[in-house]
Amino acid sequence: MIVRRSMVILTSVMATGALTLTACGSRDDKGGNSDSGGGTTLTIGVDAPLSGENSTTGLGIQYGAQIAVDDANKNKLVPGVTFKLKAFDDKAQPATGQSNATAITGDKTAVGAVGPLNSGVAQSMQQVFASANMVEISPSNTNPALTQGKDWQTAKKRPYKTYFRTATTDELQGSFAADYAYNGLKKKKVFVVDDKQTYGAGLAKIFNEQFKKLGGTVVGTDHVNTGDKDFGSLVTKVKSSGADLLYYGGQYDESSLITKQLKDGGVKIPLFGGDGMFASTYIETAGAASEGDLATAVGVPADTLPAAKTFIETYKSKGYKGDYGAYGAYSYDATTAIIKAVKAAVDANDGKVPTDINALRSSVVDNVQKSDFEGISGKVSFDQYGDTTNKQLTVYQVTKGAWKAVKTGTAS
Amino acid sequence: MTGIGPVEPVESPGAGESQDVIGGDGPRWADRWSAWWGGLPPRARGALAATAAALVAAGVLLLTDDPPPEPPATPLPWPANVTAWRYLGPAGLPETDGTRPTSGRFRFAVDVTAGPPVTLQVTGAAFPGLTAHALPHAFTVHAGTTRRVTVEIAVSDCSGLPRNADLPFLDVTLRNARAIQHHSFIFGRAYSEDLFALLRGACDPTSPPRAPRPSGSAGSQNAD
Amino acid sequence: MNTLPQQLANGLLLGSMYGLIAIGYTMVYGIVQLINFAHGEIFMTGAFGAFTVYFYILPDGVSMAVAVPLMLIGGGIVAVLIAVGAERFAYRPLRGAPRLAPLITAIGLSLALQEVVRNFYPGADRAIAFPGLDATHEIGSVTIKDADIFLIVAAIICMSSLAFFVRKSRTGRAMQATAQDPDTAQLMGIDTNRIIVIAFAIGGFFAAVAALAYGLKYGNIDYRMGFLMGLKAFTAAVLGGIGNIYGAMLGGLVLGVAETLASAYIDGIPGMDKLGGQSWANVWAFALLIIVLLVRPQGLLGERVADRA
Repeated sequence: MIVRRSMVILTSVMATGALTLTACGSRDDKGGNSDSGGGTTLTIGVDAPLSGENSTTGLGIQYGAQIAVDDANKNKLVPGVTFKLKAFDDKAQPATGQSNATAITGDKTAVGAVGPLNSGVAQSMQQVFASANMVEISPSNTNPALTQGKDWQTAKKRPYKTYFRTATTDELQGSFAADYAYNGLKKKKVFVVDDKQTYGAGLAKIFNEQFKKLGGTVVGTDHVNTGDKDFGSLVTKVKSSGADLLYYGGQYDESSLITKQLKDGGVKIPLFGGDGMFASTYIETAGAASEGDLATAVGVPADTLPAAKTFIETYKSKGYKGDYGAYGAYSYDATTAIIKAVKAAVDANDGKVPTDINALRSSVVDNVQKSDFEGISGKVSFDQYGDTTNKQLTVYQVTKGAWKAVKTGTAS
Repeated sequence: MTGIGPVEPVESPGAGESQDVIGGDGPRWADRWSAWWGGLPPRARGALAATAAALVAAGVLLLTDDPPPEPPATPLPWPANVTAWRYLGPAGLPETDGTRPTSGRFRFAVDVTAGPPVTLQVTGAAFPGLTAHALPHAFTVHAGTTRRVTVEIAVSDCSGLPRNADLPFLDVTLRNARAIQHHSFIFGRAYSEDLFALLRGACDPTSPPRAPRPSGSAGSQNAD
Repeated sequence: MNTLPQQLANGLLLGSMYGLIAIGYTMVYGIVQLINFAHGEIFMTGAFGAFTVYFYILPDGVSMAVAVPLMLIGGGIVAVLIAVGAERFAYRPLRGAPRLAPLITAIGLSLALQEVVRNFYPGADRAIAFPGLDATHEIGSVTIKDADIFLIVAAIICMSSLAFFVRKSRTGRAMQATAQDPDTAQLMGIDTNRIIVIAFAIGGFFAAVAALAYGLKYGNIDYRMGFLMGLKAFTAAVLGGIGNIYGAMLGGLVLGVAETLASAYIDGIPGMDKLGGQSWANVWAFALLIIVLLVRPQGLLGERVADRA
């Protein structure tokens, strides 16, 4: 009997380990379709969660980059060069992102990478790209430390010169959200929850500090795990705290469940989150419970950007999955920045593609830093930290089952 | 007559008789068609005719449903996407002279990068207890130019005002030929310090104006 | 506001769901000493079966009072078929093989079921919105919704009829006999293959009941929902004493309540504020399992071998 029991325990430990490991398996979705028209073929890698959690926004990044590559090939933006997009699924896992980064840098035709979606994944990828001296542009990372170092609040210092982003930072986003909550919504008591990830925890912390500075009260805080489904205990805590707003730092996968369970539990207060939950899936999953919820997102609404119109039409007509709303245009611009940098590198080399891939990569990094063009999301250029100079934010609110812009802002 | 002989009638050889064409002796396509058609029972004829008519109609509809692409007009940009504000510094804060100032003036530079001229009007300064307006109230900036403006901010009610916030902003109404937008312009630390120096001066009579104070000071609303 | 009654209700509801799933682990283990790690995925397919009935078979706007029983039947059929099929085609050929072989088969089957649903069920690569029973009721200071009532009622009916079935019916007694000694039971004329199939079928049906309750309560389902729920239910089965059906239910309730109370109150204990909150719920759940196994290696009710089925 004792032997049998220990067998149970042993097998359960083994199986738990094995099942946990399966969550980290990597799958490389070969998303690119290139029509090689002679000359040199150069690869651009795109890394984002393409399946499972966060994949709605992740697919928006993949196909945003795909359209940029297709446009560049069609318009022969760099004569003699055909670009090929290679898509990698990081499943929002830092370890998978790191191995994808290694795969991208190991490809001798790769000149740069777009992605990832999650700031926590970016942390594990930055070093890999820096060692290969290959440019990496994220369309969506908002954690300030990625570009300004971990002491960004006191002493900004850029950790990697190969890392850039076309999204603005949570310093701005958290403050903008806190201001809208306090002055716009007139909420005074907030309950702050985050998912402990680099992005979510960082954003929630900034919101928390700014909300208190404005004069509001934080009546409670809690943390959840990504993948959690039952938030009954959290809902009861929020209810008894008397909060009039729930702020959530994290992704739509959990926040859509939280808002539903919150409203079902009789707590009729709005949930406010960041760009990680600005996705159509949030509304689809939470249903009517999402009505009145809010999210800040980087950039201005796509329908106020005339240049993005063609992009959106292409995205829809190709029947691409995912949601371009959050980062599609930024992904397009990030990809275009790499392509334009390749063009500058080729022009500087008497119109020939440098034969040494390392020389090309290094030149692309320098030229991305000098980017200055009108993208579809606005002006694309980077400051000395690799942050975008286009610092725009929008507060969206779920109105009649759709995200509707209620406030826009620009930082200088 | 010119004596060169009679002019031959212009006639191809063998004109008047059909040429030898391979398969030309088979029944004509139209004949076969009409024979097949005549052989069909009347109901089938009716159904076929209706189907053909419907197909043609659908085809016509489908073709006409696709209008020729419109010539791409240069799209007008939305005003918020072409307008940028920069904070330059305080402008002539009235000297205290024993009385504490309840309003201050701040200088900004406004750029418009593209599109039609943008008309701007400052409508607020982030917090309910503040009023703000530009001097003059509404002003227009043309594309490619920069205009310096002064914004006067007055404290009307101290009760709801924080004593510290990192990124205060200005609420501005922007108008051009494309749209009217209500937009916020957010400024960095310098503006924040100057603005809160004014607020502390106006609302905390016990403290010297412009003295830096930690957040959560006595008498403030901060409940950390 | 006293939150304890509400938190207890939260924990009992979660625990009932764990308990229903745990039955599948414990019955199969009790009879063939196999830990069916694909059981979490059988739970998941039950949810997809119920959703298929609602979305693709029933007309739009059908009343939930009509839909829920039909969804239960649909989910039950899918889950039972997959559970029985797994037994027939994956586990039966391995009967008598070293114990590691069926265990690895179970893990493989679990992955296969996940991937099949992810790749072939329309829209299953992300969360699918499930119809909810969201009307709420206030009982004193406790708020519960219709889905919770469904869960509690279904759990009570399932558990009491299972207890009755195992104790009183011929087949139930045959199950107890097979659990005690399969060879002797066979010699006594019991068709052990039939008993094993019945054990898998009951486990599958109970998983489908839990899956329907899960969908109605949380409002969405996805292809990975079986992973964590299966792991927790397995924990509940071990906690209560694997092989014992009452242990599975008790283990589920204890686990659910412990998890909820830990996430609700541990951070209120002075000095423990960093160890509390929702994100530590799993840690406390597994800590409880370790403590129980240290003190009582056979689980809470593990010694009642006679009741094992």
